[in-house]
This record gives sequence, structure tokens and C-alpha cells, in this order.
Amino acid sequence: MKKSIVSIFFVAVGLWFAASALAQDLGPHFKQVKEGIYVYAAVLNEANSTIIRTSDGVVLIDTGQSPKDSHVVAAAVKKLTSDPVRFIIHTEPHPDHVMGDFVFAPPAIVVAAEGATASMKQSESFSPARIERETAKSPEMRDAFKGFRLVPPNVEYRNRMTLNVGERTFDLYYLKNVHSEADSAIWLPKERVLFTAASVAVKRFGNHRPLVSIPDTLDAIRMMKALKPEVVIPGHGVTGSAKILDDMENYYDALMKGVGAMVKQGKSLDEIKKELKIAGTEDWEGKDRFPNNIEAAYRAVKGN
Amino acid sequence: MRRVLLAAALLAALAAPARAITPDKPEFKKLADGVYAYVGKLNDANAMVVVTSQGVVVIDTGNNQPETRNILKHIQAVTKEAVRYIVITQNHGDHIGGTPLFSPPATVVLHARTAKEWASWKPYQVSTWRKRFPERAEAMKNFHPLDAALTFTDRMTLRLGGKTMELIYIDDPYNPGDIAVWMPDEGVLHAGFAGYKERHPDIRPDYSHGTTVGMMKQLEALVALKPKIVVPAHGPLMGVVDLQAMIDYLVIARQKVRAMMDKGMPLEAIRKNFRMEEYKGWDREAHYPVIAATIYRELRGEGPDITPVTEKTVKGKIEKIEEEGRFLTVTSDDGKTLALRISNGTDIEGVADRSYFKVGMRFAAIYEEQKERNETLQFQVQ
Repeated sequence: MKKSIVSIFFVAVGLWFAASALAQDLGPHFKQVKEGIYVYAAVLNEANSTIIRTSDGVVLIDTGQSPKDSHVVAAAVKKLTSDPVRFIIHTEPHPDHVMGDFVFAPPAIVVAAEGATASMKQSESFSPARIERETAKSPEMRDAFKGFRLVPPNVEYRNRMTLNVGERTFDLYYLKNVHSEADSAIWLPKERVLFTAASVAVKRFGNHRPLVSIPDTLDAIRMMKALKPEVVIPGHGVTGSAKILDDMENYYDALMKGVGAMVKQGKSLDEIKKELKIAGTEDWEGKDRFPNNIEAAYRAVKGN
Repeated sequence: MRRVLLAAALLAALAAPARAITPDKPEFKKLADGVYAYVGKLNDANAMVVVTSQGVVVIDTGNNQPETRNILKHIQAVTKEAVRYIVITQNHGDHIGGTPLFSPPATVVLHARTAKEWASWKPYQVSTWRKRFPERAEAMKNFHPLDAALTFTDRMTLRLGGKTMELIYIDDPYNPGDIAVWMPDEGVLHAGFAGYKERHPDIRPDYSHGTTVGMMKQLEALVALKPKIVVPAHGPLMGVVDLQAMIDYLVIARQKVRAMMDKGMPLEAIRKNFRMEEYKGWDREAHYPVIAATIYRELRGEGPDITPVTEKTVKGKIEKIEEEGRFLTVTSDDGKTLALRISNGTDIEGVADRSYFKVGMRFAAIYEEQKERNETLQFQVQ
């Protein structure tokens, strides 16, 4: 009897240490959001990179703001498991999400929405001159960029894709006109974890390029809400719940209504930019981007 | 008694022996740098192999287990790279059945509609999958065929070690998930189900291979690619001219059925009278009535003809074996004669695969009997 009590005690302590080691040892910028799922960003609102363990190897969602971050993620993967990184899934093809892919691929296979390769090849961000500027920022950055190669995705899909790796399922949804030329939402249905790409931000105005359509973005947000996620991981910003989607939907709704009302009153784009205020966004970051949000709403209202 | 467990569809008549177009031995042909076609013997299912510096891609997996092992031997003779991807062009046993030799760890790439079908497999079908290659028993333990799957709905591009493969799905309400694989740099196309060379198509009233309209849509899209070499699902290597020939064939076939319908002929008469004399010498004339019945349904705007099946059991003795075990004539212990079709999905115990059947062998089988008709050859294990 006594022996069995002692055994249980040791088992319990062992488990506690194991769990504790995983949470702490990856570093201060990692957050475990579900069993085996760790979100990393060194600085608030830099691009998130997420490590997802599976019984068949590791899947990364984006590889970090810069190759420096990718090396931090690579070191964390090594601490977690001896398994290889099998897949990298892009939420978007912009450099702050994919520049460090070369740290893992090959052999990791890079998966993205259709158009990602074209977007990367056209982007000035991956040009030798730009890379030189990046590496000149610090000796650490120069080290981090050693061996840099542009890694075009191995797999591009149109519209929908599902990837099963080990016990996990990754449903990929192409998000049209939300941020880049090739945005993907990634949904883990069993874990109820959703990666929204940059279709939403947390208390922050997004940068709306001319291709961005607010009605399409609202459609994307509503589609993602219908999945009923428990954990929502945006492209940038703190992981949260479905409230992130609600807040963004409310913002875009208010923006569309506000711009629509002012257009009806005959106001010009410049007047709208000067006058429009959206309640609840007073403490949001990136206020300099608000005018381009208004421009996107104006385009939609005008039907352009 | 050697116990043989079978699940099979009952046929009233056995199909006529196939007219051979490919040689009686499989061939492994180089089509371009790193690109090979495995041309099945006697019109068995073909496969395609793409060797890259980042691993090997196998497109379809061979007609049966010995063929799949043969494909692997050929791969190992040309590269040390591991098979990393399996691409499934159509959801039939002679195309998917070799997958467990490679996956896991290879990732299986398939259309979402095919994946949906796999997801509905019953436990014993999954168990058959695991048992297909005894040498893979350890790797297949607790493995579901979809555990390493990558599925797509519209279109997908796979780039690996300098090779680009575009996976093309042409949407149609009745496309069961058939795809083609296009290698633009090499001008090589695996046409999937739509690829036929001098062979009457295997198009069925249950639309398990889609419809003639859907097939024409696929063919038109594939012709537009202007491929230099076309690997069909079955039969000899071909060219774009053969894709165009099949479009013409389907147009004529539809005209013929329409003309008979306009005359008020009933389905049975149309089935009986449908001929494609213009294509004399083409393989599988036995498909005539089935092609006619399929077009008849399409022209009437009817959906797929799903024939109810009843699960039955039988014990008895094998009397006759055709096409390496694909068709068995058996006598049950209570004196009935049955014709059983043994597909690649049939769960067989007691012998490694259907090619090991012997006349006189005793067996027990669970099989499916189709009510009313037997023209639909689609194998549905219950």
C-alpha cells in the first residue's frame, strides 16, 4: 500500500516538472495556447510564428518577423522535440512572415495559397539590395541571414486545402482581397484553433493596400466566425478568442456605415478623412493607417 | 480448408477478355529528365514517377501489390531519393491500392471528393488497407489512409526539387474527384481518367467515373495545354491527338444515343444496338451497353443510377479464374453458381492477393449482390 502511494507521488511530480519545463524553457516570447501549440513574437505586433507539434513532425505557421526570429523558433523546436519541421504553412507571402523559411526548407515543405510565388518574386523585399540593407542592421542580423535563399512555396492551392499531419488536421481557406495576394486562414478543427492571417488585427489599424476590399474582408471574418474558434491567432498581435473577430467585424461595419453616410451627404474623401471617427478605436495603434482604411471603405462605397 | 474472405460484387456475366494494347510485361519509360511512365501490362493501370532532388512523386500506385512493388524497384534503380508524395488521379483500387507501400511517411495528395469517400470507409476497409503489404505491417499500425493526406478542392501546384506539377481538377457535379497532373516545363501530362487511347471509355450509369459531359470538359481543358506526351490512366502512352479523338468519340456516341431516343427506342434496345463501328479495333467493346446507358441517363437529365446492394455470404469452391483473379466463377456448397468480381479493395485472407487464387480452392466470402441489374461495375464494399 505504502509503495503504491510513493509511486503515484513520483509520477505526479515527474509530470509537473515536464509540463513546467515546456512552458518556461522556450523563452519569454513563447506562449502555449493549446497542447503542443506555441505562438512566438519577440515584439508585440511583429508577425507571429507558431510551432505546432504533431506525432508526425512539426508544422510551422509562418516563420517569424525576420530570420533572426526564425532561428529562435528553430531553437525552440529543437528543445521541444527531435522531430523535423515537415511543413511550413504561410498565412501570407510578405517578408515578415516568410523571410526565414530558408532556415527550415528544404527539407520542410512550404504550403501557401495560389499566387504566393508570384507575389514573392515580384516583391522588392526579397531583392539582393534589400537583403543587404537588412543584414547591415546588426551583426546578429548578418549572422541570421547566412545561407539566405528565397524559398518559393512547394505547394500552392486554389480556394481550399486540407493537410493531415499526424493526429492534426489543417484546413486552409484562401482569403480573397484581405491583405496580400495570397492570404490563408488556417483552421485546426479538433483543437478549435484559428489562424486569421492579417485579415484582422488586435486593437490596431491594418495597412490596406489597394487590393484590399473591406466587403471581402467582412465576408472572410464572418466565414471564420462561423467556424466558432476557441483560440484566434492573428497574423500580428496577441492571441485571443473569437472576440478578436467580433471587434474587427464591428469596426469594419462602423467604418463602412460612417463612410457611406458621409458620401451620401456629398462629402469628399478628404473631408471624410478629416471628420470620421470610429467609436472604440481611440486606443488603437497605427493611427496613421486609418486614412488608408477610409480609402478602402470609400472605394467599396463607390463601387470601385 | 484455406479460408478466403471475400467481399465482392456479383455479376451475372463475366466481362470478355480484354484486347491487349500494351505489351504483356510492364515498362518503365523515361519521358523527360527525371520523369518516367510505368506503363502497366495488358492495359493495367499506369503510373507516373517524378524524381526530384527533394524526393520522388508517384502518380497512381499500380494495378495490384506485385505491380506496386515493381514500381518501387524501378524507382530505386534510378534514384536513392525517398518517395515523398503520392498523387491519386482517380479513386479506384487499381490506382490507389499501392499507396500503403509508400504512405506513411509519404504524403498522399488527393482531391477533396476522393478524400470524402476515404473518410467514409468502414473499419474493415481501413483494415484491408493496412494489411495490403505485409512488409508494411508495423508502419500501418493504427494508421488511417487519410492520416498523411493533403487534399485540395480546385487546383494545386506542387514544386519539388526543380520540378513543377500542376494538379488540375475540372469541376463538374459528377466528377468524383478525378484529376490530371500537368508538368508544364516538360510538356508531360498524366491525363487521369480522361486519358484513353483506342479504348472505349469506362463510363458508367452510376456516374462513378463522372459523365460524358464532364469527361468532355476535362478533355477540352487538357487539349488546351498542348501536351507533348500524355500518360493515360490505362493503355499505351499517347498524345494530344488521342485526347481530341476521345472528344470526337463522345460527341458521336451522344449523337447515336440521342438518335435512338428520338426514334422512341426503349433503354434496353438502345443498350443492345449501340455500336461505335467508326472505332473498330478499339479495346473494350464490352463497354458499349454501359456507355449507352450512361448517355441515356445524361440526355434524360437524370442523376446517377445507384443500384441497391445486399450483403450476402457464401461458402464454396473456386471453379474458374479469369484475368489474374479479377473474376471468379464459384460453386457454393448449396449448389449455386456465382460470378464474383474481386477488386483491389477486396479484403482477402489466406492468400496474399487475388493472383494467388487456384481452381479448386475452398473459400468463404462476404459479397454484395446488386439488385436488378449488374451493369454497374463500381465496387462498393459494405
